[in-house]
Amino acid sequence: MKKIILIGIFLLSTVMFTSCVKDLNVTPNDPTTIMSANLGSNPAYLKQDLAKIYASFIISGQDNDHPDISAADPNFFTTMRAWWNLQEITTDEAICAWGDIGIADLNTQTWSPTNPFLTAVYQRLGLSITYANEFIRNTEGNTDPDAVKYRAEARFLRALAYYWDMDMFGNPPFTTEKDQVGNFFPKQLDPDVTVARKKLFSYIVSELKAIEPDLGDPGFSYPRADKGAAWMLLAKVYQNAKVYTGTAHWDSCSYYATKVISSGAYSLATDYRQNFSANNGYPENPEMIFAWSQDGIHTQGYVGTTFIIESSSDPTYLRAENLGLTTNTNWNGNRARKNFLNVMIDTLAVYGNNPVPYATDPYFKQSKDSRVFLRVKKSPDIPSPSSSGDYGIGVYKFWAKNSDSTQAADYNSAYASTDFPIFRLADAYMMRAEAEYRLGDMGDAVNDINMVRERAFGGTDGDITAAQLNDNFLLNELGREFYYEGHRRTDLIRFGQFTNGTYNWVWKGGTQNGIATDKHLDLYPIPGDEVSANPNIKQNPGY
Amino acid sequence: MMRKLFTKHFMLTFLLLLGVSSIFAQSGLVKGTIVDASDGSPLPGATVLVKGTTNGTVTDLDGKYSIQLNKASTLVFSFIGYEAQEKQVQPNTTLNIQLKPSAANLDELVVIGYGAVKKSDATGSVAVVSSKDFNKGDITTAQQLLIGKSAGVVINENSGAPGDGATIRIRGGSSLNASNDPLIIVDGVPIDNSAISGSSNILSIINPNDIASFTVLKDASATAIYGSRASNGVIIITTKKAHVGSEFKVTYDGNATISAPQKLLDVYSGDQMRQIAYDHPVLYDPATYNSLGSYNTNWQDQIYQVAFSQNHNIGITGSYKTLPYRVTLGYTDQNGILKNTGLKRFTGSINLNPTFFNNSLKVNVNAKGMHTNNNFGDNGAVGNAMSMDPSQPVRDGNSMSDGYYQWSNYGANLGTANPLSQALLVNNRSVVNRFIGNIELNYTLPFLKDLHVHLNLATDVTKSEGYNNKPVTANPNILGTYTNGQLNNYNAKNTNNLLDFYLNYVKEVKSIKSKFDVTAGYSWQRFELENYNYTRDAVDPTITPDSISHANKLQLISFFGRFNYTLNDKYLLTFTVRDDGSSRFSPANRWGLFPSAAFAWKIKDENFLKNVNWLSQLKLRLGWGVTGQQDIGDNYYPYMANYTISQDGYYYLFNGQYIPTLRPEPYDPNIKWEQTTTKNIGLDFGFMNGRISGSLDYYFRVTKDLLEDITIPTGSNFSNHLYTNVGSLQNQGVELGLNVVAVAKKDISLNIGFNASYNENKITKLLSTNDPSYIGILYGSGMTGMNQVSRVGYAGHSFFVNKQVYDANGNPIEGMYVDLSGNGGTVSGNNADKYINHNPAPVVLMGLSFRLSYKNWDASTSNRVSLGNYVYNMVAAGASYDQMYQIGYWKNMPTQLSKTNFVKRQFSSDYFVQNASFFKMDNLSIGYEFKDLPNKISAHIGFTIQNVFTITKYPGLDPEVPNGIDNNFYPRARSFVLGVRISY
Repeated sequence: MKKIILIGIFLLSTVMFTSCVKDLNVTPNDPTTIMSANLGSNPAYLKQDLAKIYASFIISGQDNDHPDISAADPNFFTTMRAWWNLQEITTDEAICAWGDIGIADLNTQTWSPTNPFLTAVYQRLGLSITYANEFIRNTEGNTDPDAVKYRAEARFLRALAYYWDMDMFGNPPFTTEKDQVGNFFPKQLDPDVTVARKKLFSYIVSELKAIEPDLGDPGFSYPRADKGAAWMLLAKVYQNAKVYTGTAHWDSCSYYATKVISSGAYSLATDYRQNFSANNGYPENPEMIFAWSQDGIHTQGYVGTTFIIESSSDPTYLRAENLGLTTNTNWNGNRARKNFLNVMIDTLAVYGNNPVPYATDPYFKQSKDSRVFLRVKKSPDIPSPSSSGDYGIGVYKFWAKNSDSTQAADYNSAYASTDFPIFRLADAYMMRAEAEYRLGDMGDAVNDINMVRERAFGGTDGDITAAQLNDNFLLNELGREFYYEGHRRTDLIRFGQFTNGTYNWVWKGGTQNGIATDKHLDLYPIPGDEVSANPNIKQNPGY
Repeated sequence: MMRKLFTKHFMLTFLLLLGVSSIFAQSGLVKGTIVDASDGSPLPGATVLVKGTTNGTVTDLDGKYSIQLNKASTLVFSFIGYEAQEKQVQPNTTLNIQLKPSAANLDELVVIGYGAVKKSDATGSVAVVSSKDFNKGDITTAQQLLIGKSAGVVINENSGAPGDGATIRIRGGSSLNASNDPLIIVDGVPIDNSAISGSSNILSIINPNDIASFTVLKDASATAIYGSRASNGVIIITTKKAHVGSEFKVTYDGNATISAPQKLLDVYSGDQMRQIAYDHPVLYDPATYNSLGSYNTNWQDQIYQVAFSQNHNIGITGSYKTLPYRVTLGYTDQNGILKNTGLKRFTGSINLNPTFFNNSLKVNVNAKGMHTNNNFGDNGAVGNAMSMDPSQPVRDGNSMSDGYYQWSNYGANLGTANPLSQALLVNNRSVVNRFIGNIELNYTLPFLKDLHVHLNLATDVTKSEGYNNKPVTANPNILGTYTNGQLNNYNAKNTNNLLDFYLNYVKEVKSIKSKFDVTAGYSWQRFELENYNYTRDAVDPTITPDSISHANKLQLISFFGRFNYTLNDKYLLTFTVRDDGSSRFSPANRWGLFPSAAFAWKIKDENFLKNVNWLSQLKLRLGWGVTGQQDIGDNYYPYMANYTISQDGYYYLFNGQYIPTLRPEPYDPNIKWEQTTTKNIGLDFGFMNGRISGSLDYYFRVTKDLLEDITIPTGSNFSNHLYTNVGSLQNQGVELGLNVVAVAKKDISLNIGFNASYNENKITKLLSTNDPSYIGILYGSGMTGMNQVSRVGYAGHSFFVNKQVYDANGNPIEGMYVDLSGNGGTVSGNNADKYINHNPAPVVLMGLSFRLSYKNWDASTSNRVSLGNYVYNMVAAGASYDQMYQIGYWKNMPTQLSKTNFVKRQFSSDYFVQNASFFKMDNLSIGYEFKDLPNKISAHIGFTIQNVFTITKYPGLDPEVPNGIDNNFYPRARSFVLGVRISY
């Protein structure tokens, strides 16, 4: 008996020692986990992987509890929502009443590198680029026609993210599909932001030109990026070329805008508001070229147009319930400053020499411009930068209903199905008009502008002449057409009116009537978190 | 493969058990067991001496002895710390002895990792808390026995919820972000530290009545044999056992408990709310004022109850021929002070520990089972009872809300839920079953008596099933998106299988006055964890359900060894080494080597001290060791790239369809374990024949490769943060443990236990770049601010706040802070103007207990002191006048608002970082022992008060809150317990 035990024990131990070390090679048996190894084998995975790059710009993550980045709030710090704040509440078009950290600095152009909104935009754009890099790496050499198209779209989205990086920060860390992920320190294109910005400009332009043949034809599968989107982005980059490189490229801007216009795929929506309604997607809305898609059932979150609608409504003056949302409503944050009212409405033309009758015409119905979706609240004046959202000029351009006031498809009482427009045809006309104006072709410029204004005025009442066209008119017209669409900061900078004292709006710089601010604010700082985390990163001048 | 092997192991062992017949005592042998008279636990290491000779022996680990006698003799039974006994005895008899404790003892055997050692021979910092020291009263979980009993061991019960878990820290945490939980070993089985859904306490399987002792291994020289799981110390739990020759004995323990809240939070009454609204017309216009109700509802009174609980345990010990057995059954029915919370638990255990072949094969079989029915209720009612408007009635007959008053559904749906409805309408229950079984074989080789072979096979399986349902009549705010009522169900299964095998060789070489004790072994352990959770709307299938499921595996494989060398019984050396492999890491980083060394010098045994009578013990211990931490969070494959699929609602439109997206997750291909190096100097001492004894330790611990979730360079990985090895931190501290037998006379004795510890935690590195301007890792939320930070040079999770400015009367001025940055402008929540102000960890902790016995009476008390711990009073910080009226509803506030008078909340003010030092009497009990009852019946009756009183300056409900943030947790109850123990 004893011997049996002995033999048993020693046999056991031999088996154990030889076979068990292999047991350490454990792989997940979790059905929801997909390892990178089996990603390439399934074409459905490839599509879902590409969809993630799109989604990374508009929603927070894979569900409410798992945002893509760690931040104080998942929805606040999505790319589009934070980017909208950087582009709008720093300008005359908007001011936000909330006390959240970072809001006040943006309202008054007094931000510092720790501002959480600019930090989130910087990190999230970099993340979308990293997702795209991985996708481009994984599809290297894949000749399947779908995969080739997917890959071109990933490169478009990467170029778009780099474009916003170039516009806001000038000098982001630069990575491509050649950089594997891990724990390393990416480099900027150059320590000097002026040099780096030029290099990034060339890179974006060359990428967009390189992918042009691989992308789908205009409108082939909205909301996927196609040739139309690439031309729009090229035109946009060239439109601002002087800011980014010191050299203007108006002819190229006009060239690509013309490609969009003459592609025949798009036309201006009859109803301006369709662009900001639940039925604003292509082809139902022939004007929409590229947008971040949203859906009340399938693409949710307090982001995108839901955020714009809710943050701009309040229980008293502009109720979200009237804009098609009835759950978790009226956040009472954003509204326009009084100066923008003067941009939006030519009060002399509308009201003659009389004061604006706020009390009797709070919705400015007397204005013939159908783009006016403004409502004066408790008063047009905002007593302090932290005043409640009840003060100022309410904006209700975006809403969650269809343009004919019917209920949206996939309707949800908390989340809008309205897509957030990135490029629409009116922008192509306006870019081309600006290029023609800069190149001295006043006649064509006026024609393009009137094209857009005739839709707004429902006829030729609002047409302008070459004599009326000047810098200020053009800048104001961009504001009237594209307010609340995230264009304002870029446009003001291009016209030299964002920081210096040419144009001051209330609470700019933190004073009641606004003061000149320093030019270094035309670029946002590299976030403090990034400077701490990456020794290769050089801060922008002035910060 | 291993699964099969495993089953084979068990079958083989059972066959052995069945097939082997035992061998009986030889002529002339006297044998028996020596047990502690106070609790019946066996006494290992007790001396048995034939009177007038040098012939003698000592008892083994189970308190058993056997001695050869030629004729009838007198045996002297003695054990340090116990009163000696003499008995006349014939050869060939069995004689069991009960020794009465006299004073603190030194020579008991201490269970350590893979073996046991005499306490006097221990080289590491090891503390034993045995049954006589345990806390008394309504003890429902094992950790409650240990609270305040050992220096450097901090046990914070997470809340007053029935059966809730506890946070156990030994010498502070060695990690910032990975687990800081110690390794817990029950009868040789390292148990799974991960709490299973539906059960909040990993230790709930052990009936507290079954526990014989806790051994706490504190320094690395003691713990390093557990390698990559040892950085936070090790707690070894040993359960009670029977022994050969044990008399058949039945013990019944029962108690009945009445619990009630200790105190309620001071909030405004309806009348006070109306007065405040009236006094502040600027804030609340007449329409708002008029929306207040006319009632004076005390919502806290509504949700709390006086709760009755009961506990019954039966233990049967005995020995069937040579098969000693112990069987216990336990039943606990505990009701919480929050209505609709409680648990019912059945536990059972069987222990068999026979020996075969002349004691050469020792077998120890344990089976423990637990069946628990939990009723979790809804703890959210605690916070809502504080903020629900007192001017509203409990019920208004509204059929939409089951007759309860609820705020009308307006706008943002944020109206406070009716707390009573919240507490009562929820149906949140689970059933948890757990089984831990193991078989230990300890075989002494017949041809090599000094070599022992040890095999331990164990399995630990937990299954849980539960649901958390809320009816349509619940407050919409609680239902969230599931507007027609919430249906939820979940289940989980954790399996943990273990195989330990080691050889132990002990040799004494008298010629060189040396003793060698060598152990070498192998350990295989696999964890499999599965869970599933599904939440959906009760009616509408188009409301996106939430479904989560996980299945994970963790494999640990280790080789370990220990070498003990004793010279002249005075100089002791210990070396241990463990080579650990964990499946969590890539093959390149998978294996870690964890060595340790220790030296002890029994100074008292030197000639120059031998005759110093007042000094009964003096031993110096020096230790050094490296340990690791592989329990680095929920991610079981952190070195591998993987993708997560999105839930509906997070889809994207692609070719006309909304499709789920696939996100690559951030990962660090080079992630590895944290490594902690500990140095320890200790002194064990005893005076006056052990009546005063204790130990003093100084330790210094450095953790490197600290895992931290840090902000990473943009573009380097698939997020803005990554869990990676970056930082280091250090802990240093001093511990003192003292035991004083103040009085030890025939009828009266008084024992005093005291322990004190001081710990200092400092982060020394956090980033791979070492940027000196790095602000640190901030914690908090967007709503209430990032008010905690881990920064280089400071303790982890320090409070990070603005410096409040006060007016002439010493009241805080709202929103006015010291401009610490010197930048001027508005001093608000900006990080530049914040500073580090204290942290949640106590500087000094003390435990003080008394045990008095006088004739048949006994009394005891346990007390704790915590000094220098601060709490961020989130309850008070959330109070402001502007929050009192929200869009469409009123909200109550703590009356502390009348001191600050803040109109807006000021979350970043250091005013709310409050000193939470305290003195707590945890326990006070008195008992009476009925002696000389007929038929050997003994009985004891006791009365205990738990959570007797707290002395503190802290103005909130309880200064002892998890993680130093006071945010409406389930309060601890004061309980009155009547207990009875009968045995025969």
